[in-house]
Amino acid sequence: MVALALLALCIDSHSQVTAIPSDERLASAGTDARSEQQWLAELGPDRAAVAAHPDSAQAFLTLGKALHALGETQAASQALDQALKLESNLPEALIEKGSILADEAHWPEAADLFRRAAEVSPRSAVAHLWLGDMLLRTGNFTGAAGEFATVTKIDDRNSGAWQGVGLVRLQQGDFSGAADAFRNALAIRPGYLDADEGLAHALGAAHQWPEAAEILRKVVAAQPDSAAEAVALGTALARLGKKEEADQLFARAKEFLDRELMALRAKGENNWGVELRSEGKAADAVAAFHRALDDDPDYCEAHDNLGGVLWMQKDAAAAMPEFQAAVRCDPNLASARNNLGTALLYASHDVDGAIVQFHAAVAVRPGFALAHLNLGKALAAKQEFAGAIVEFRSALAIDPALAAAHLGLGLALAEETNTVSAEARAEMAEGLHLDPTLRAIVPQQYLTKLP
Amino acid sequence: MMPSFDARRAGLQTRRSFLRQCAFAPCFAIPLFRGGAVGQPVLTPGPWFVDVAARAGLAAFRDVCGDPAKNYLVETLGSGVALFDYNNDGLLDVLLVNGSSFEMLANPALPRSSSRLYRNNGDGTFTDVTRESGLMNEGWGVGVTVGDYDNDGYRDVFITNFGSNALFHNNGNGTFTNVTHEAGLEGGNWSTGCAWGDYDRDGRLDLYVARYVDFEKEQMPTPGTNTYCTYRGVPVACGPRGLPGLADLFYHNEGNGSFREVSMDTGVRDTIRGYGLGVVWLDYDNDGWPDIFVANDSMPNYLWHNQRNGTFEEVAMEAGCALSADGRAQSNMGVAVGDYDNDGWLDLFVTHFSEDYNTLYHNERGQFEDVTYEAGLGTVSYTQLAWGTGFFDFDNDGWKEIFVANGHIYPQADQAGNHYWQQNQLFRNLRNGRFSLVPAEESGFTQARSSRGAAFGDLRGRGQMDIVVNNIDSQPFLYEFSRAASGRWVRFRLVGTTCNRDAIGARVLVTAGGQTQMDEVRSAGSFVSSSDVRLHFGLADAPAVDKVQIRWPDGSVEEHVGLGTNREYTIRQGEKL
Repeated sequence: MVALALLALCIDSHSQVTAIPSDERLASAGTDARSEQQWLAELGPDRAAVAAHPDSAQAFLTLGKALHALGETQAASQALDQALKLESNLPEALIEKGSILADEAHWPEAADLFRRAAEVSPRSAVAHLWLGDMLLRTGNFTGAAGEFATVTKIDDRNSGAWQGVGLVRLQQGDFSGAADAFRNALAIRPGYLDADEGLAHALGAAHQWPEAAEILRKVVAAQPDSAAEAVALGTALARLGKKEEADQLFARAKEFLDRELMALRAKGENNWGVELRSEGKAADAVAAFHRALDDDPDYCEAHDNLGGVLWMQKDAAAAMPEFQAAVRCDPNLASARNNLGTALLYASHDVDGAIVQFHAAVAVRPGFALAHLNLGKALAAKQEFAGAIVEFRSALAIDPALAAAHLGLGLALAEETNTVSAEARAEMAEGLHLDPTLRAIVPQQYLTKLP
Repeated sequence: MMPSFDARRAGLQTRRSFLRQCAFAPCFAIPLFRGGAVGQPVLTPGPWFVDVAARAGLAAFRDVCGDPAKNYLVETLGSGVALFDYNNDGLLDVLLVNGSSFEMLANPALPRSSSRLYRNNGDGTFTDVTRESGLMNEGWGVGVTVGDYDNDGYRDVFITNFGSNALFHNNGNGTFTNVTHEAGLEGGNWSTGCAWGDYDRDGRLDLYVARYVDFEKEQMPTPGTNTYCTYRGVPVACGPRGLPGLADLFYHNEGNGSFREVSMDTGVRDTIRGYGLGVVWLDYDNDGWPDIFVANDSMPNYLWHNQRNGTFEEVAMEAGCALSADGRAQSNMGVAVGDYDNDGWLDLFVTHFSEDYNTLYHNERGQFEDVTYEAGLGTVSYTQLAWGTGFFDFDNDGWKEIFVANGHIYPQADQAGNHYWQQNQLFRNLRNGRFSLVPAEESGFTQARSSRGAAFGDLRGRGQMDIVVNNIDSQPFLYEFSRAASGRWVRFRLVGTTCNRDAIGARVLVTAGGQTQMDEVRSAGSFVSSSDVRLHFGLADAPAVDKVQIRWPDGSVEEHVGLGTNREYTIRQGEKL
């Protein structure tokens, strides 16, 4: 069975606020910095712990954190809900769940959870920092200022809190106060680009153009493709009488902005294609993806999605170049790697080529269950059962309801040992229980041993 | 007898703190009233404005705009207002533009919604004269601009629609004729802001029409299907981000009742097809030639600089009004033009989406600077979604205040921690470059609605400015100035003779009481609306107007001296008062 990747969606919202980036909130709070590979390795034991201790809020919290780290937000959310059902004021669960809601722009709901966490753990800098961020986003500047101030009292080396203080003061028109706060953030964390931007903005607002320009030069060097930074620097230089350089920056910014607009529209067409595809209107979806690529020929996800629909239309010859184009334009696009691997495996029977692509997919996105499943299948096809077993297990740790992974694991265990162990039998049975249609692909010698 | 008072209202302390103080000091021995002696209560004046729409006869109007759920962007935009004297009786009349619905568009048998023209009866009430006037726009109306395009002395009306636009020629006898086709102004798809102005000084009004999204209902994603279709995680109508835009249209008045689309010829090339909304003409660089500012939703604004040779150059980025101070493209909706600090340069105030601020661009000799934060406007409207706006001197103190009409586009905002119905706002000019929000109880803007277009004018002829606001799916607001006294004032009605008859684009400088103020005659602005073309100046307590300088749209300049106050002057170009 061919597994197609999730069709890519764009990320955007109406939100305009320049708030504290989530990595800063987490980093400044000293939150867990395990790699995705480590999270993946712990996922199996985490699931086992939940199964063994269904009344343990801590077990569900641990599982939820791992799933969240792997990008499985829906499953993570469910695990965290369960943790909070068992222990309603578990601060870590409140914060973890709040952070998921925050990332989905559910700011008021997230704020409620962070507020509860802060009440339960008044010394939790991360709870106050998150709460401050949510209040800032929802326009409660006084409340946000209070939360950021609380963080600085708990931990005066928290750069995120000073960044928050700076943002609030800037909006309130207190430019020197804002500059002081941004400078504090930079003193704690040199090279903190958001704080540099904030400082330059505060200095510009106070007409301190020379220093603002100096800082913005650094920021532009770090973000050469940012229209906003180019405009900010151009404005500062224009104020300093450097019209020629300013005009060059404005021209560059206009190019970026025009490109951004076209990319935005391409995303809109891509989204429309995804919706049409989900409604079963494949031909219309193909047209929408083509329009997206007309607007932005370098739109990697649109190539990938176009390939996906063509593949569903059983047009492998047309799909393959689209997957290849997607991988060429973004080698880190995990879904395109997975789709190209699938096409290589099933259309070209290029098992080695497919394995390369699946490996790349899971390297980029360790929480990508389908890619683990496909890699397991490809390795099994090469009789590399030990490797296949690892991949099937990874897939199941991420998504225990993946029928093909259960079946694949059962078959690989049996093939590797040449015997149908109890585990192999149980996995095969679970796979067929979850998806009875898979029975058609189970070799006869195993079918006879199954219930 | 001790006067009763409310300590909290008087801005003193709460009862609890009051009692606590009393434990240590003889409280009744100290003066209790701010600015007054004991026994002389300070009277709290009523609000500045009172909504009299019902009493005035405007309450029957509803700006119908699609389904209440607002699943499509076109249902969310709402419509504008025009205040103009259609029958030359000296009284300002009210035109409320109406939306429509997909059902009405699809089924001609259904009753039509229509724009409504209300004649001013001169006694604070209005009469609906839509049918007899023939000014019936039955399309899905959005914007309006009023101008005498054929210089016959009667003001004509152009209305933008989702669908074909409409030009209504004023016949001079209280009726209008739809001459859209003959004029060649149909446009098409989804037009929004529009404004008349004479860019080539030929004495005839040309027309700028902004357009928004290339909208086809069948091609629209449904709410919640992607991140362009959510607000704070809640499914809402999609767009404009991610949707195809439409190029703006620019028409030259050919002088024979027809217009020619000249955007390419004049360099007004909206090649990236921006999401255009608010449009206003202004001479931002004081070179005597009218320029055009276009507020673009979710992308940089345009500032079309008039090159004085029949062409324009887009200079918003260089001029500093394309983006916010930190280089962000904002969701630009409505635009106000005015010299709020009386420095002789026209400033801009642009309204925006919620979770953002409305931007005040101060004009420093033709170079704009976003001074929102330092003007004290950074946090006060952060959760509001703002549309109609204007600089106007409501208390006649010689300094222009700011009005903002608010209302979310998503009814679902109520589920997302914000509000669909929002209060409108009044910002008092503190005369030092800063503004302060006038509390709703004081401004009178206590009722929340989802407001859109707003227009300004003295509807009662009393020397005080009133405001009419179009509210989506609701009756309009007619905010009548309700306080008895304010500063002195003077008003000018300009009549062009060698320039366009409405003198649109004329600039007036008024010197009185040691201060010079400036404004220009405009055909439209705010959000898709058209205010009174007469220029109104508050004079505080100046006993007389020392000097009035008029720069007519054709460049000629006149001066008049020794004018009185609290009256309106009609000034014909080239004639003495």
